[in-house]
Amino acid sequence: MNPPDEHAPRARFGWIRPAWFLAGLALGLAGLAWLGYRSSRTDFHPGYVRIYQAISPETSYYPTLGEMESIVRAKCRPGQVLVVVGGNSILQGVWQPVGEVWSQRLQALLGGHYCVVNFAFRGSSPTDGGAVVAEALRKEFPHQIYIADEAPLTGVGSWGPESYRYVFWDAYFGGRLLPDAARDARVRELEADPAQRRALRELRIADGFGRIFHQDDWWNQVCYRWLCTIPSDLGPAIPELWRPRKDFADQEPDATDPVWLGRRYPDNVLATEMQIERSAALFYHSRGPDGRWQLAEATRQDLSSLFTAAFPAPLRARTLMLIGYDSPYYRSRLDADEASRQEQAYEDTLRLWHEAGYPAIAYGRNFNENDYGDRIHLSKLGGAKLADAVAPAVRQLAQKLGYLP
Amino acid sequence: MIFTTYWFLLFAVVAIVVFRALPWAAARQGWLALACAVFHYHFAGPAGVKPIIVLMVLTYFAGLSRRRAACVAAMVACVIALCFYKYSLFLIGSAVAPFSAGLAASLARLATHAMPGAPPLGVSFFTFEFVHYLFEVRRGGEPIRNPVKFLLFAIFFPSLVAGPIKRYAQFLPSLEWASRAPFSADDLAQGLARVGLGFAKKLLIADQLTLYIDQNQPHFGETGLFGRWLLLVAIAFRILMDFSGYSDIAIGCAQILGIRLPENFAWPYGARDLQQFWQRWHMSLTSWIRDYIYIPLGGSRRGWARRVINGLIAFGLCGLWHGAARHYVLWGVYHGVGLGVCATYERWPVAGAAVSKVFRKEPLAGWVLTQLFSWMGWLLFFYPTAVAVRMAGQLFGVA
Amino acid sequence: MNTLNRWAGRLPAPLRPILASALSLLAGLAVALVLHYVLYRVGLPSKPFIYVSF
Repeated sequence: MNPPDEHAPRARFGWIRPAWFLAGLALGLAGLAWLGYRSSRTDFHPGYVRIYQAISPETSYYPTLGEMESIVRAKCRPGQVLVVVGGNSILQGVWQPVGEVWSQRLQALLGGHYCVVNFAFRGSSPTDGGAVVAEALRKEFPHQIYIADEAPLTGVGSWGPESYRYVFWDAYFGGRLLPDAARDARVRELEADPAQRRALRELRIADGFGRIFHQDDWWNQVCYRWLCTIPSDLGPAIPELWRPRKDFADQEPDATDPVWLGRRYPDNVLATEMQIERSAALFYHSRGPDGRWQLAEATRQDLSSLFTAAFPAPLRARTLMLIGYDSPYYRSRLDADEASRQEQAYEDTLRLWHEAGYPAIAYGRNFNENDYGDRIHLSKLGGAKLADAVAPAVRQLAQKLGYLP
Repeated sequence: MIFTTYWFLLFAVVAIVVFRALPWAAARQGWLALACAVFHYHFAGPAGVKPIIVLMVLTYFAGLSRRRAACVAAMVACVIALCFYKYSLFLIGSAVAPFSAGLAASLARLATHAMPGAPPLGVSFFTFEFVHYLFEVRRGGEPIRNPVKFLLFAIFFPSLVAGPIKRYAQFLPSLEWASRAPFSADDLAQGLARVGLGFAKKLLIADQLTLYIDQNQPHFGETGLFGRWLLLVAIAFRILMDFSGYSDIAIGCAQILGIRLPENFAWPYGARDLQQFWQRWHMSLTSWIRDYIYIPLGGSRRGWARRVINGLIAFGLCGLWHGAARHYVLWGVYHGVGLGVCATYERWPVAGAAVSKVFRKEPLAGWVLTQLFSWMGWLLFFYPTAVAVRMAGQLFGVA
Repeated sequence: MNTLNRWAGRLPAPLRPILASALSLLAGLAVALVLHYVLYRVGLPSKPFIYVSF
């Protein structure tokens, strides 16, 4: 049987010998999958400090789970207590230049029995990034402490296909996380939601392809080491944009630099920032018989269930939650009523975290204006104070968990 | 979008493998129809599926009846649907708003209320295919009796969203052949090569050029002359690589299934005159416009003046087809004028003969002029008219 | 393509199948590279195909 003449194959690729072509295709895909697998087991970030701009989702670079696990494996020994820093830009160290990032000081304070790795992403939730890496490495590094931060009275909520959530889905669909019925139920709920279904389906299929071909692992390495073809705002134009990401240094500014000192608390954002500062008023409307501000029962229950659902039960005791005070530049502008409501918010938040089974501490209550680069982010001075406050808590937790005598 | 989703990549693999594995023609066609329906539903959603179902049923039965009046009525319905979904807001804004802002606002509200959030997926393409089908049946062509085959003609997944615009007289024998033919390693290898070429054009060239254009176009006026011309070249190659890349993926996917789709591009930037350019650029659309607009208007049969006017109408509509905005129409008319000049310059007294002689002697001159004309046209295509005119002036150093 | 065919036609007959096979293998490798890159890029922000919006 022959095809109709007018529909005979076009000559454009008529020279192709199918057997050789398909052999090349299979060989090529297998080779690239192998290279990708090797990439996922190779640390190609020598001297890693944190997820800085050029290797972060803000510049369309999405470090893979394998890539981050390799950083841990290269940096830490299984005998050490692995301290993974997660959370958002505050713990990532915005306003703290390389060399003076708070997590580097934490490592110095904790010493050789501990290995601190910072996987905090700007704008991510405590359950993203570092949380996933730590959980995925729980068998290789059973002695681990995970540190994350959250604002007071804020639920840990990052579930949908948000940009920082990709590591979670990678690990979840790949079966790298602890079995957790509550988490599975939440995923099923999301998949039943028509608005989320398509995006989740994409993530699930992407993960399936990723497990076979390791495409993200390989091309991330290419982008980091040799040639980066993905869009970003890093360079003024091509060809600068194609420069490998390793050529772009971590250039986080220093908030204590005189250039920035005068710009930390601009007048044009004062009203907005104060609105946020006064947000405790949204939760506290009345005082109880003891004269203390009362958190509405519904809010208490909501937060309690969100905190409980944030991590599976076995991981809660090793998750140290940090609740940060804002800069006194703004806090000092609160009136007495507002200040007492805010104080109550910190107290209640810590209690709720503790009740849910997490160790939690507040920091920054006695910090001064120079310890901050803006309302929430710490300067290197504040970062050092944070490390000083967190180190004893980590040691205590390590002892309590039986990691170290 | 569509081709650049993981869902599509997985879908294509499953759809193709099962199609090839099924041993009977009817089963293959049934499977392909089911796959195409799933594809369309996935990307268009429930609201986007309704218009194509209505128009498909209408077209199918109108064609089956073979009555001229029914075919004409169905064609009118297709055109009205296209105008409604794609142009109603533009037409209200352009034709009603200048006379009565209140009436325009009410009409716009009504239209927005009646329309889905976005125009139905591939509406520009499937309405053209339906009009072509009805036109040919009205002219005495054989209608498609088998509803599964008609469904496949209507929503064949590789070409559904952005063409190439199919002709049913070519598509059906090809479908028939693919449904019965044994596995062809040639088709598989050549189709995969074509798909790879398409993705390479899109991701390795077009997207990189887009990056370059997005970064440099806002500073067009401050750039030196060389930089400005470089940007024009980038704009010209970006659309070629993007669209021909898309066509390559569509044609390649179809070829893996064993089905031939019409070609859409044949080195258009090698054309030495504007007629040649349009015989090589988006060929499936150009030939549609020629067969169903230009020739029915009289084509070139009624003297050169009518030929020019017909060309202007056809290309004005071609421009409008690309989008509901004035600059698209202007781009179409610009090419209509260019083609008019191209077709008639030899008749011009004195200059005509001299220019013609130059082009015959120096083919390179024709190529330069043609490409200059078509590339400058992309400015009108991509940017609002005032910006495009300013950029065109700046290319020649005019501030 | 015609130029390529003409050029290939000038090659000694025994060399032609070897060349065609080698080129086919290379083409397969190139397509594998592109498809692997596609899998990576699909997950990243990208501009949609221009004509899809028409």
